[in-house]
Amino acid sequence: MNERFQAVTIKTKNNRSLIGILQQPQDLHHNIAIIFLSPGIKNRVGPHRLYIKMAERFIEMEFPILRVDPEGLGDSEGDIDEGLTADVYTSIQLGRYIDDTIAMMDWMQAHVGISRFILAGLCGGAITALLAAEKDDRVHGILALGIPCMLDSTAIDPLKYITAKQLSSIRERYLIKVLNLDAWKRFLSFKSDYRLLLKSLIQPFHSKTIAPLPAETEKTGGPRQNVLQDTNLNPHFHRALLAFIKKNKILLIFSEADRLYWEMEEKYLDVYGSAIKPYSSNYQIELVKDANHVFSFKEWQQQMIIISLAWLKNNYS
Amino acid sequence: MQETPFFFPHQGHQLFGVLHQPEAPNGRGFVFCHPFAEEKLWAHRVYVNYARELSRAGYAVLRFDYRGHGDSSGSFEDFTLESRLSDIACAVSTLQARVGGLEMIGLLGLRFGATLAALAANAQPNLKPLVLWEPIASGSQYMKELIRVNLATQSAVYKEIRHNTQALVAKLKAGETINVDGYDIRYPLYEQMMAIKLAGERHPYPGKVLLIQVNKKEGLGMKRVAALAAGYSQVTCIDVVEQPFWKEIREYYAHAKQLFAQTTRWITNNE
Repeated sequence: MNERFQAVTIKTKNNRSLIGILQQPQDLHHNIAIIFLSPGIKNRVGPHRLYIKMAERFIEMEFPILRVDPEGLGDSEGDIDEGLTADVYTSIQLGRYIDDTIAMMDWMQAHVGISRFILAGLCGGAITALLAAEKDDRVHGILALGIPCMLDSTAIDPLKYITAKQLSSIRERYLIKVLNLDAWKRFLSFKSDYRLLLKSLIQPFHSKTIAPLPAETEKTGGPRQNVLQDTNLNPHFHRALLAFIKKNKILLIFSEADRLYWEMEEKYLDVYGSAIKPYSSNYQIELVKDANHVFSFKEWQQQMIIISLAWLKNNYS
Repeated sequence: MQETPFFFPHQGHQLFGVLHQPEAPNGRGFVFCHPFAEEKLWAHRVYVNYARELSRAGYAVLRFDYRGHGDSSGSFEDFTLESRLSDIACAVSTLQARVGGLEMIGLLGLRFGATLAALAANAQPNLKPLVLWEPIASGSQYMKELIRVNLATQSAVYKEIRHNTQALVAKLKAGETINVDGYDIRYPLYEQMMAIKLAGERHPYPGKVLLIQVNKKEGLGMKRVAALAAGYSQVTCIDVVEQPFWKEIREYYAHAKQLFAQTTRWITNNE
């Protein structure tokens, strides 16, 4: 594959310069391009260059590919004022980078002549893709890795919204350590998280479930207030997903050992599953066995890329 | 201040860099040598902001990615210690060629980037000055830390260690890779990194060196950098209080104010 790389600078509405890389196949066979969106606070290459590895395979299918840092991240201009990482994540989950994503599509349309896009991203990149798609109908597909359906924030007590599977996993870890002297030393030195320990141990006897949405609420796409309070669900998530899958395709890949998958199952699909079911031909949910959040090990990356390539081939070749 | 992203060729590959050009140039420049693997990504924004600060002070700065890192071409697993040193030499030439007329070019590095900068400066004594932020003094110690990352991933995901340290090293020797935070390492790099020992060595580099130890709180001293200092003829050691921004921490870290201030003061005082 003879491909061309080009460093690009994109101006936003705020006159900020965003820095990125355009990767073009020698022959342009598609009228659709893939844009990778930065995951959380890491830059346009993704953790351990995951986006580079994915792009190498996607360009074999002759898609043009753009990877750009949004404002305040990577090499781009701008600053992030939040002092804590969790608060940066929250702002991203609420749409901080929607305008930058639209600026990337505008640039591609003006400079490459393409006006249909697949947005791809891990975690913060995935939620940005979904929220941007709600604002811009040039988005025809989303490849979402580990999409967060809940909010992170320092103002939130994570223990309040922890999933049953997380607690179960934590309980297993505690039980493994029960004969470990160092673990007991730590326990007696007041360094342990006693609330978490207690919650994980009593969880099998005290599970709280949230009722599925009633049919009439499903149609509106709006989240039920008590669901938001009970689960800390992102208030935009259901509305944006429902709107997108009515017309377009989304691939949702999760890692089996990732809390984001457990959150998606327990906090979203168990409650809203029936609302999205009529559009099941437009969404595909896949799980990579054993994988962690960032697909560290090669076998997990390979499996994720094989699933992605098959989805691209089935829907966009 | 102008920032230009670009690719430059090196040994059949394309290296990615960003050139920061000052509005009022002082005829001096720096090449930034980034840390290893995922530490590069966590520290990225601190590098960007310090490059901007130095550029505002009149210095031309080139930040770049070694082959197999960031946006530069190649697979991470294919590159070695020598390839990284060769990339640094290429970046220095590129900065000189693109800016032109620079009287002096220095190196700045963090963690393993500082280690590489120190080794590069030993080979290129004309590079001045040398700024080392929290250098990795012992390659074997660092490699143990990296292997522990692999063990921690196994433990978190499988709830057991399927391949212990000995097994991982045996895999390396058998030609397989081991994975650290998503990066695959091969035996040649492992072997070269294991041999790195900056402390207790006499360094031939004749220029001025700034060694900074980054402590999480006051009063922790400068033991780590002091062990290296004896090897240099002109050296200043400083400790600063900053969080370890080269790994995942609770704080969002884009500026390391004490680190920036102390480094800039030393650089400008030692021109």
